This record gives sequence, C-alpha cells and structure tokens, in this order.
Amino acid sequence: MSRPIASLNLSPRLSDRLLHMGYRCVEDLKDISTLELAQDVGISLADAQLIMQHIQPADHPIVSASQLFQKEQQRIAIPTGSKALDQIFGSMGLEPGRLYELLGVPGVGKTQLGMQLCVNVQTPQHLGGAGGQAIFIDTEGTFVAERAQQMAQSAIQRWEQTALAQLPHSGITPTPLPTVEDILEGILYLRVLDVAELDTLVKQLRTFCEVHPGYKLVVLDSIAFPIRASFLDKTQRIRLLHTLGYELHALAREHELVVVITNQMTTRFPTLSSPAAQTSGTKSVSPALGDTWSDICQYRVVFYWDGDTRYARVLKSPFLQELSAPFSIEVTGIEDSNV
Amino acid sequence: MSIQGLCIAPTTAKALLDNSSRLTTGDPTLDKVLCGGIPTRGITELSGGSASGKTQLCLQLCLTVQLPRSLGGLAGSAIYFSTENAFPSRRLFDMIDAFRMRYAPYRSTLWDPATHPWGEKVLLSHLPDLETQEHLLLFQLPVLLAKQEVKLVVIDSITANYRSENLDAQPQAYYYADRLQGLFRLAQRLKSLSEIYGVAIVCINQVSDLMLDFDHPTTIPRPIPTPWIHPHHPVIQRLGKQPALGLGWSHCVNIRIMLWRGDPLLSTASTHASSDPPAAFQSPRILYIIFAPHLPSQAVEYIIAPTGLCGQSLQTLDRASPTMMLPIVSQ
Repeated sequence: MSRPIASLNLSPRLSDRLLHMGYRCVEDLKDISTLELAQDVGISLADAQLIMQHIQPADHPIVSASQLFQKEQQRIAIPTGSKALDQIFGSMGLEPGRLYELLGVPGVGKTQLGMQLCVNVQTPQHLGGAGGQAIFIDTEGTFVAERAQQMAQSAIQRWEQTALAQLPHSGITPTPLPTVEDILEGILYLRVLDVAELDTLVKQLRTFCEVHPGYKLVVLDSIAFPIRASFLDKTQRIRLLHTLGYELHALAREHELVVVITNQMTTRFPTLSSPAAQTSGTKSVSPALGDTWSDICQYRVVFYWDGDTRYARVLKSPFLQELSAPFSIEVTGIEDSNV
Repeated sequence: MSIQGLCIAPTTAKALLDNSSRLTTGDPTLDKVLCGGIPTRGITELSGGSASGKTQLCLQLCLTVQLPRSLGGLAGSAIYFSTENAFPSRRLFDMIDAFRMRYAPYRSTLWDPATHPWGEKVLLSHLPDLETQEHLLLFQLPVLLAKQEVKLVVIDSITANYRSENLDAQPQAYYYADRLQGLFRLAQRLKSLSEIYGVAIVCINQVSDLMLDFDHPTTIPRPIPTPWIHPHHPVIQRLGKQPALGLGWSHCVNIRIMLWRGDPLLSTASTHASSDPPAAFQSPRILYIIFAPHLPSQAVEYIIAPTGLCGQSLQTLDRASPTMMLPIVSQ
C-alpha cells in the first residue's frame, strides 16, 4: 500500500513542490538519490536530505563491540611523519572517524601539523595511504601555500622511495605518483573571517562531504580565534561550542574522516575556586575556551617546548595513557626528533 | 569538480600559491630570511627593545611598498599610525634620498620628486589614546583601504595605548579579559582587511622583561617537572625579553619577528679596545624569526644603513647553534 506524500510531516512548501513535480507517494522517492531529488525537484540539497530523512525508516543497526573493533582496525590512519608522534594519536597516526584537538602556545607547530596532514592524507592508496583530499578551514590566515609546497615536495620524494622499494617484489608497472600541483590542488582552502561564517560553514560541511566523498581530512585552524574575537556572551558561546562540537563529531563519524581542530592556550589567573593559587598569585597556562569545550573533545593533545625540543603529550584519550613524545619540524616537514 | 553548497567561496592551496605576494624589505639578506619579504596576508609583529630598529624597518617598508611589483614592491602607498612617539619625518626624508639613489638605475621615474613624490605616499595618523585607536583602526581604516591604493598599514606601536591605560580602575583579571577581547577583535579586523585588500599589516610591539613567574612550580602538583608548558618560544626564553601584551596577543599574530640590540655601553667597553673610532662603532644587532608558518627559526645580524636595515650574516637556529648564537641572559 502506498503512502501519500501529503502524510509526511513536511513543510507545505516542500510537499507542494513534490506534488507539483509529480511525486504522489513515498514509493516514488524510493529509487533516487538525495542529489537527484534536489536537482529534479529544484530544491536545495538540505531540503532534499530532510525529505529523505522523513521517508527512510530510521537506520540504526545494532553492532557488536567486536564488529566495531574489526571495522576500526581496517581504517587507514593518516601518519604525521613522526613515528613517535603517531603513537600519541593512536598507533599509526590520526584515525578516521575521530575528532582530535591540538593545543599549544604560538609557534609550537599546530598549524605545521595541520598542513602536514593535508599532504600526508594524499599518500596514494597503492602505497598504503588514504589517497584522499583535505579541507583546510583557516580562521587565522596562517596557512601559507609555500610551506605546503615544501612539504609536498619532500612527501613525493618519500613516496618515490616507497614505490621503488615495492617495485622488485610486485613486478607490476609503477602507478604514477601525484605531482606537487596535484597535492596543492587536493587541499581545499576556506578562509573564515568571523564567527558567523564559521558557524554557517561547519553546518554545511556534512552535506558537502556527502556530495564530495573524496575528502578524508578536515582541519580547522583554529576554533579559538573567531570565538575569542566575537561579541558572544557566555551562554551563546557555550551553545555555539556545543553545536560546533556536535557537527564536527557527526562529520567525522558519518563520513569516516579525520577532523582536526586546533585550539589556543590562555593564561589562567588565580580564582576563588583555587584559593591556594590565589595566595601564591601564580599564573598558569591552560587551554582556551574553558571547561565546556574540554568536555566536548575526546582526544586532546598538547604541544609544548622542553628546552629546544618540541613535545606532544596526550591530555585526554579514551585508550591512551598520558604519554609524551618528542618531535621535530624540519624544512621537509614533521619528523622524528633525534634527541 | 564544482564546489557548491558552502557559504565561503572555496579555493585551493594551488590557487593560493599562484596568488601569493610579498613586500620586499629592499635588502636581499633580509628578504632571504623572510622568504621574499613581508606577506600581504595576516599580521606581522615586529618587537624589540628601544633603539633596536623597529621604526627604521617600518619606514623602510613605507618606501619599498611604493616600488613597482617588478622590484618587489606593491605599487601602493602606506599608512603609518603612530602612538607614543612623534613620526620621525626627518629620518624618512633622509631615507627617501638614499632610496632615490638606489632605485634610479632601475626605474628613472623613481629619481624625480615630480614623477615620484615618495613622501606624498606615506600617510600619517596619530592615535593618542585607546579609544581613538580602536575607532580609527576598526572603522576608519576599512573606508580608507576601500578608497585608496594603500598596500601597507604600520601601527607603531600597538602596545603603548594599552600599557598607558589605568590599571587601578578594576580588578586585574577583569582588566586583562577586557583588553584581550579588544585585542582579538582588532586582530580579526586587521586580518580580514589584509585578506580582502591584499594589504601587509605590520604591528610594532614593545618588549618587557621575562618574569620568572612561569618558571616557579604552580601550587597544583604536576606529574612532570615544571616548567611544563612554558608560554614562550625557547629563543624568547633565552633573550629574557618577551613581546608585550601576553599570550593572547601572541596567538593573534601570524609572524613574530624580534629585533635585539646589544647593550651599547657594554659592547663599546668590550670590543672598543681595538682601534675602531667610536663614531664608526655600532652595537651588535640581531633579527630573530621567532615563529612564522612558513619560516624556520633563523637569526640574522644587521646594521642600520642609510636605506634602513641591512642584513649581514645569516644563521640557522637549529638544535646545536642557539646557545652559540644567542646572548645568554644574565640574571
């Protein structure tokens, strides 16, 4: 028995539009994709998604823990370039489906890792990489294409070596490697100028990544700057942080991609809640955006200096201990530190 | 591939690379350290003690910005916001004479004051207090940039008006919170302007002594030895001087450059034993790249020449050399 369109809980505008275009019952919508529907009926993709959500029975399959574990094992992580640093994020690097937060004082290397991941995510699949593309959302104007170019050049040299090592065993003709231009074309750059743009953009990303499944990495550098520069009051700010956190988590989970957010550090003054600190009057350095935000991120890694060496430390992770690891930033990109 | 459904016009790193531009400093060594010069995207901070050459470098940029693009300039004019100090017009005109001599062989029009009035293309504005500063930078500067071919904005200094504000009015923490929000808002506006109009933004910052506050163990016991997260780059820790305005502002700048000048009294005493006449002597000066997304940490010695800062020898601050390169701070 067919269910008429009019029985769906849609806005009159949408149901009228569907009826007008000849869709009478739910069965008419069965075999077309969201994109086709949007094009055919002449509505936005978001509206088409809304319609699809209404007609599809809720799809929440129950899986066992071991099924999930097996699935997670098959994911291809994005390596950072430093083996020690990879351990801080997982075992092989940053794992798809997860949201990572990077913290650190200015100049310690947050943006460098962001740029490096944009290059490393493009490691060709035949060399064991994810072979995806990257989206870099820049709120601070820190992305410098010349640096990405440098990193891409050295990445290609590494890939050439890997490809050469594989060659004698496989006996197949080598697949051509991407060029520096290909890699730079593979980084979609979005310059966000204020918090309103950030809010709107983040809400559009899930749909965007559905239409463009090639993207395997989203870097947001940084979340703190536009929020700290905004006029939002405390409640608005907390609500916004929750929305952004929800959207970015969903983005990582639904599209199996890595989401990396950088955050700034701030000086914490002694407060009433820590009377001991108040008496001694000591300031300390802590992550910006407050306690609300620290609850939202499951994986938090802080970069810091110890002497002249950069270190990364796990602040929060569901499966890693509070490890520290040194790493180094060279002209070629992020590498293992030799200390 | 069509990119639709985003509120922001997307671009790629490739397009960014093709459109990237720099403002030359006019000095080949400094340009080499800066990978071509001052970027026309984002905020470049220039900090250093008094008489280290901050203003000199800015004056120099006010002139190089007028050069045609073939000579590394941006073929535009400059606006110079001054705060505590009066604008050094006499030095600017000395420098203009030196620039005429230097660039006349490349482009004869740069010689003649009638065809290229260098001084006309440096616009000046004074920011006497914080209120005026915020009003001019937030609201009047955008209008100016939209109307005129201004390609360089210099703020000399961003710090003075914040430092001279009355601290006693309210509790310290609230004062700093307000100040920080003001700084972030200002930084956001300046960055947007630089993005929209392709303008280089240079902010001069003062320095303060590095307090040992952060080096003392906090009252909360930490699992690893303090200082765990030091707010400063190792180079700054060694110099013992930090750019003013705190950690918040540090996050606002894209490129942090520090100028260091040896103590003129000390250095004359130690090195003047040789036969150098005192007039020819200049105390050692070093320019440090503290951080920049596209530059390694580097240091370069410079002198102040008629055309402004002039780089001497370039050294990389890798793990081995910084102790040799950097002056050790005496406590």
